[in-house]
Amino acid sequence: MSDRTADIREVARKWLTDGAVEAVVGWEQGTYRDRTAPVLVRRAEESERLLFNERCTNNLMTYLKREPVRSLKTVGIVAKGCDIKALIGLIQEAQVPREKVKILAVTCPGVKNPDGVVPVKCQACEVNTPTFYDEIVGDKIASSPDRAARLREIEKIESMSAAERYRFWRDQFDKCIRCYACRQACPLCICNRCIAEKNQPQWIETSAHPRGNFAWNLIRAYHLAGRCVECEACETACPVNIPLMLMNRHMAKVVEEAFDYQAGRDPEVQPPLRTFKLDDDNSFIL
Amino acid sequence: MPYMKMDSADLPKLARGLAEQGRRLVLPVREGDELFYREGADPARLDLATIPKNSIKEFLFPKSEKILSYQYRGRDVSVEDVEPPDTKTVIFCARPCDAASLPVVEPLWNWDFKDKFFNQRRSGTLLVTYACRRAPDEACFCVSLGLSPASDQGSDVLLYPLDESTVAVRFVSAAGKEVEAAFSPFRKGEASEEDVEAFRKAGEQSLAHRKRLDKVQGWLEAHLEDPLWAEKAFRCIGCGTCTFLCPTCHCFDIQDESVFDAGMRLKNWDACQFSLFTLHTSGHNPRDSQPKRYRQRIYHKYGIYPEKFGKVLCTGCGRCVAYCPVNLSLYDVVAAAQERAEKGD
Repeated sequence: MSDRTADIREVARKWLTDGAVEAVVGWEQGTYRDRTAPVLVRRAEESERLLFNERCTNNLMTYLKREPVRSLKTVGIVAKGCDIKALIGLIQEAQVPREKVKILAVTCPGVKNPDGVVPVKCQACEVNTPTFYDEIVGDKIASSPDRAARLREIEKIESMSAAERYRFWRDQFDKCIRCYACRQACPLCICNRCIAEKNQPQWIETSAHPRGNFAWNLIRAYHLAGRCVECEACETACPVNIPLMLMNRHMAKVVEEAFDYQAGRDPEVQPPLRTFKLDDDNSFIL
Repeated sequence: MPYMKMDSADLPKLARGLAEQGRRLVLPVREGDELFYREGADPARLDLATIPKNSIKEFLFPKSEKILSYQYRGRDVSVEDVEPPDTKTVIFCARPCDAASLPVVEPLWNWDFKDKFFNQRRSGTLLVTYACRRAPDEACFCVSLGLSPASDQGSDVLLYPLDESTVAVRFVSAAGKEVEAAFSPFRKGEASEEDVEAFRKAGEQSLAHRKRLDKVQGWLEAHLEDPLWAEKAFRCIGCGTCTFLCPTCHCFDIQDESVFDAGMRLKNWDACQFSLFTLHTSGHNPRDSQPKRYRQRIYHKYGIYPEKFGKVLCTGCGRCVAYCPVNLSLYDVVAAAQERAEKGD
């Protein structure tokens, strides 16, 4: 059996020694409970800090959009299959040049959230063995996705009456404190200046009252329609436990039904909401 | 002086009794795997397993609060003050680190301007605190700030859970003594000073591994440009989880919101971790990178605030350690500063 941690360190050391990358983003041992934490390794000898285990939950692609990684010319990034989906989204949207990033893919049997629970994304995983990478470590793992896992919870919401559904979301959004952990953790929330930060005019009320919270959470879900790769970083980060993935999975389902498209699969394919075709099915608006 | 004892099982009844005296009731309840302080929850749901995820801050300084309203009539505008609600509150089974946050932030709300909203809520709030037998979470570091799992700062009444089924009660403040009658029906014997002292010692012992953070302020003064900030702050994703869960972070934003010709002015939680927090109208941003913003939070808590008000703006509750989405521990960073100060580095 392969030792993923040792293999990751070896590849990172090689890349940094050869100058193939200026730095490597990966996970290191955290200091709270058994958590891991994101780390930026700039020198080959620091590669020893890198590791991989079932607590490597964070999607590190969010670091590509912010400094100091954003200004690097080349960067290596340790990634699970689900994280790579986010990178594919960033490449499709011309946010990150493919040649800038060297993907150090790791096969993954599934992770656990900070609360110890196996995320839905792992139950439904089709990319335990990533297919898009520069180098891969770890024994191959065949995926056996539970495809219904993604839909199970949203079907409950869909079966509610409109009034029940409104009550459900009002109660959930009442909890929102507008900390924007969802946006900050999200690898695909890429706006330099978020619409929630635009105040001339104020498009979205920043107050954490029902109107402001509905506006914020709904617009974020809309902006991720057809883009969200269901990595669950937002829901995992949310300090008040709003089930954000119910919205994101619902939007993904709508896009899949309308355009036969799933986000984060093929960097060559244009996402449906970024393209226009004369023969698009417009029956839903016309 | 001996302490009155009561059965832990009677705590929900006690909470109900205090609420029935005309107070809104706030107490910790379970939601999923975690505890939250919630207003108006059934006292039967009282859950004391660990420290709640939110702090008590929101019950004295709400996340969004109306502070005035205005109305345009043609060219005239009338402005109307909003009076703070005259609500009485009991926060039942707050943790000592939460209670201790109140004397820490009181000088801020009464410095150049007396904030009537905070002050009115504060004076109407009764704090019945539930001391920790042992540090309830791995993130706890109250002892680093000179507090302890049984500190009485900010509390009106302090409950010491001596064992699984018994609490000793101490009436700390005048407001606490006033509600003594509500406790009397539950009296079940007495605990001695020695019992409570042993409890206090055991609590402190459970945090013996934590450093005293008493040299940080001086170290910060000379290390504004230290490489530590950029190195530690790499991980920070710039969300407001740490500041919003913090019992002592108190920064707010002022927003005007109107519908046609009527509107209101709101005071909303804000966070130094957001780039918009310091963005000037000119476009200049004095804290234009996350390391600068991350550093600011530590400086405000451990340098600027103590310099101004004589108290560290932190009670060691550990929420920013436990719930940081990227496991960037404030304790680790401040303890590193303390260590370097001790070494004269």
